[in-house]
Amino acid sequence: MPTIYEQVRRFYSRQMQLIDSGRVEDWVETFVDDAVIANNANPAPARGREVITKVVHRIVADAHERGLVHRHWLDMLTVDPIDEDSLETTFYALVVETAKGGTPGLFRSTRGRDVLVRRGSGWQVRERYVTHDGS
Amino acid sequence: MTIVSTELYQEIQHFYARQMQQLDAGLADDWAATFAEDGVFEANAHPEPSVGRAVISAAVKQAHGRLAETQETRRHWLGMLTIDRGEDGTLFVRSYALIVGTKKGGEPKIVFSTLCEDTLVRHEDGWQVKYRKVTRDDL
Repeated sequence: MPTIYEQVRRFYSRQMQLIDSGRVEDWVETFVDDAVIANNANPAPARGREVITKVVHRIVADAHERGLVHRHWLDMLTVDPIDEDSLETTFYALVVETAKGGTPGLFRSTRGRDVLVRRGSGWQVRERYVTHDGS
Repeated sequence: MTIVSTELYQEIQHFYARQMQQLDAGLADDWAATFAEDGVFEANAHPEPSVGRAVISAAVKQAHGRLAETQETRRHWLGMLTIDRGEDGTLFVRSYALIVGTKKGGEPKIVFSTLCEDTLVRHEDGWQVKYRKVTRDDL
């Protein structure tokens, strides 16, 4: 079994690829049922998979309609155990945006803080707080 | 699909680091040798897939020659890998690559953002690309 740090890195690679592929239903499976996502640009947190799914569907559809591709590059990861079955992580993520026929640019620079909980042989997000730089 | 070991994951990261550097350095034959003899390179930027090492090598020579003429250096940054292993040991690797281009005297720019989907097979003590599909985000 890979180390916890590696498990978490791989978890994020897969999670970011899912959202960038527009696979919202698979992506939301990487969160617990009553997960909470919040960011500094939007004071109202999204609570629970149902709400999160709705919000993210809208974001994905909006990018798609505008012919934009987003790629989340996540790195600078820290992982600290909270207890046996939960972790606190922090990371940076850059979002590269490319319009059809356009040149790629940095759409967003962020810092994230998650609480991950163990599920089976993997992990799920229980809480996510994202700071959008410049907001 | 099984979870790959730490050792294998790092081996694959190392494989890509070397392969991208060979490409950026224009080492067309070394680069082509990282593909299986009958390896395929498919890209949404190319009208037809390149099939076989000789064709893959020629394509890189040509591309590198064009960049040399315009005095542009390219660097492929590959990351965000996910690796899945099939029953027979074949690896399915999905990654992102940013291509940074710098013209002589100019500022670096992200020229392309891409998705890279590979099928890798064991070859002697290393790995080879059996099939590569590169999708440029701007196309």
